[in-house]
Amino acid sequence: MNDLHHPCQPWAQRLSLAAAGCLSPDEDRAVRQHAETCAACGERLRELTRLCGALSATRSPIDNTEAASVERILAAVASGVSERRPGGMGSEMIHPTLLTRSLDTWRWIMRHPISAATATTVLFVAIFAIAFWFHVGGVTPAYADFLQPILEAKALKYQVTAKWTRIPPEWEILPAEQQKKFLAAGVTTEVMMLGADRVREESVGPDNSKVVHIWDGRQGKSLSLLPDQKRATLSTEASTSEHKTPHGAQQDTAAVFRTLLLHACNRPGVKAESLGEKEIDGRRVVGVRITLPVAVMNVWGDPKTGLPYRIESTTRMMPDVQFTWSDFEFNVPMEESLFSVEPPAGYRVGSFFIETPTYDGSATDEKDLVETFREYSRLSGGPFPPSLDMMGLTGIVMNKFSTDRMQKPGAREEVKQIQTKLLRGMWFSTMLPEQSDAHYAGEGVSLGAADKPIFWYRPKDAKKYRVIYADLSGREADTPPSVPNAQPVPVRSKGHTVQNMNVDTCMRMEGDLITLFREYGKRMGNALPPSLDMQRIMWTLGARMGLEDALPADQHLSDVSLRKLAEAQSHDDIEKIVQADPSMQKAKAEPLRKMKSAKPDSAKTTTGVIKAAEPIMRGLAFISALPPDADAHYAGKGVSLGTVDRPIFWYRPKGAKKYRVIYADLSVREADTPPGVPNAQPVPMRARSKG
Amino acid sequence: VKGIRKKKTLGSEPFGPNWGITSIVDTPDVDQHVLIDRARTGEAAAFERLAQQHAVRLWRCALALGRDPGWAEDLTQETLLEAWRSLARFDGRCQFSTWLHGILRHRFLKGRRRRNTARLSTADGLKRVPAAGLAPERVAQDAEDAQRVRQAVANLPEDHRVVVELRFFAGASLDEIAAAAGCPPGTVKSRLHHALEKLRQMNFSVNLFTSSRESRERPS
Repeated sequence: MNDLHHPCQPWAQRLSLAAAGCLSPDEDRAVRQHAETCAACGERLRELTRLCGALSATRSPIDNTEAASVERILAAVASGVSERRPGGMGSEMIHPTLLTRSLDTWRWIMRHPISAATATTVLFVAIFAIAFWFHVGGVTPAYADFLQPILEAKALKYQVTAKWTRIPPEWEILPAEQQKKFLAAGVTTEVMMLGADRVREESVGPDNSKVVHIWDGRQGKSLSLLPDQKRATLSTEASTSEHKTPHGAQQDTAAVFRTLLLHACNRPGVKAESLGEKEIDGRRVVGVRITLPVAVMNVWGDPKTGLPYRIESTTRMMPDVQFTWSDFEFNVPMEESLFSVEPPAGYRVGSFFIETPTYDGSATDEKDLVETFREYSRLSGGPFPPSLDMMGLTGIVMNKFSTDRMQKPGAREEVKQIQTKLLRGMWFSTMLPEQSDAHYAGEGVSLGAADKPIFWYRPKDAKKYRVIYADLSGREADTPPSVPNAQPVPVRSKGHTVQNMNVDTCMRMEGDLITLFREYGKRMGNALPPSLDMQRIMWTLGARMGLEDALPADQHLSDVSLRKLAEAQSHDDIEKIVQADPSMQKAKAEPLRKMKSAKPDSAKTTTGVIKAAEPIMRGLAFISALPPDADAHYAGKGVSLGTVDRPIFWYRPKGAKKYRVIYADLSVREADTPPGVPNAQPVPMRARSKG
Repeated sequence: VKGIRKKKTLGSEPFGPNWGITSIVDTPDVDQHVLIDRARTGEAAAFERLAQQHAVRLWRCALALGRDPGWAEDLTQETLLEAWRSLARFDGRCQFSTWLHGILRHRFLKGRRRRNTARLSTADGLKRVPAAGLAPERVAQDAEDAQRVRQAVANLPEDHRVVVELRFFAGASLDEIAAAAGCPPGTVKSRLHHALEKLRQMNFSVNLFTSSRESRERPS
């Protein structure tokens, strides 16, 4: 098609470079002015612009592979530069960058201290229940015969599966499909115990990523591995010594198992009821439900062997997680090498795991809960947590500890201390018995108000209630405060809304909006939407599809018609486009009539294009999730995709000082102040299209 | 535009914004200069921050050069560590990113000699994991479109392929491409022009850059 004629040849290279975005603004302006006056050059510039757009479109925003690679690079660089740091931390200490943690939520979750601590706590509780099962009434005396093998087991192996029944807040940043996948898959952990002092746990996440933890109590060492990335973290006695006692054991679950097995009799506050018999996997099992202060467990055992067969558990701290224990094997041979705490050959050793918070098993009290409130409020800038369970408390830590913050000296230790404070308060509240009539009313309340009760309970054997107020003072009261919508403790978390999106989350979701612009431009002759109004966008896309559908297969709407269509607001506008576009002369009448009968705000029309416009919907979802203080604006009306130096959308992520500005060429920059573009539309906006 | 800190666009780096760079935030020069000065005094955290700013683009450039994700990771890591060790030699006569790309090229040439391996065929090294969470149909369509384009780019002569991949897949500026490809900026311009012309001509014959998705989309 149309090669340039001789006088225009000097423009050829500049046209290419303009399309590729490789000219200075002055040069670019000159080229475009020429292209407006020269049909051949104009046509070539359009072709090249489309070509360059297609080339750019093949490169997606940072994906998981790339993110993981870059994170490894940065970890290695951090390690490398720290070697030269005067008085540095030593070559084996590598700061986790967390640069891309929002792109790989699972890895973050797996490393999250509270998650790790909770898993261990649940393990602790579950083992307690196993032990108790052999002592409660209703279980046939024959079971006692089977205590001995467990007590004497030299090796124990089992599997734990954790499945979420509700989307945890930290997953909300993930696309819906991935959330569903995570819900369905859960996390499976293979646990191997050798003797009383060696444990190996292999966890596989929903994305098939693997994490291995090995603990050797004899050497006082633990080793954590990320096999996919060949990274290892070695911890020594100094950092784990507080975990050595059975009650505080976060690693030595075998020791806990045995200790509790011996001492579980006559524990107060434990309720057991028979579940009768049933078949699991073709095996007849008998069950008992054990209700502990912190958990409910259904324990199913094989009466023939007297050994536990399956245990289903939920805990107060994580009411939305269902744990299933199965595949118990006793005294199976295990390779010693599986419990080696020497980093495998080829692994990079560093601090790739955030240390778990310390919970020493000591008693918690009201002061711990007050400290939890104080700490959360400090992190949030005032508000108290939405709920008093794991989910309500953890999101704030993830939000506050951004990439930059984790780079600061002492950040890891700070995270550990924060998690410990949050954990202790939560532990206190979840351990309160039902009779304490504990309630939480802090959701939506901020630190300060001396007359606003946020938590109350009745201590054991006390007649009066203890009430904690929003100024964190504690007083006694004869009756519980009357606060509407107070949540009984333990509570089910309402989670966080996406309005809590921090910078990392925004940057991830921002890609959806960029995709919206790209996809819309691709369909509408490089035009950008006149507004970010969903009904309007959907109607325009529906009209475009309707017109294309009316055309013979070899005919297409011209870019000029598509750009006019982007601006169209009524049937009259469409009629004009149809009459002006030569290709529409061959249009089929029926589809055209149907298309024209669709109203701009027709739900049917909208529904019809939603499936095809999935990327558009995702971009709009991002916009709708932005809080009002994001100061988001759209200025893409009348702007062509690819225009250089033209801001079309900007907003300020929660907690960020700078604005993020998307340009018409779909580049993104940061700015101290919003761009000064006239007539920018505040976002989100109300539908403006009229039929 | 009021309030926007822009990169220098004239003089030694006559560029507009990169095409389609969606995830790389342009670094305000003033911040970068401060970081470089601090890093020169031995402040590791400042250099780590610089590394964060440049790692993604360097990795993509390394991928365009080496066509092997694993090697790209090594190259990027080596480049940044060498930059840290050699920071005293950075004289500010070119952009810091251009200097990094020069180191990258050096490491690439050194590594290529050592590897002594044949180049990967077509676009194997550039196969990418689709962005998380996309619908399967969307992933398939995107993959189909992208593969068609990548295949066309892979069929270009080596010199042309490299500049196109550096520009569009890696988001490199003209000077960065020149540093990474080891040729003057004028040559980069010429190669880029000829490469785009070839692709444009290809498009006429096989309708290369019209998305297959569009033809499938019709209202239900």
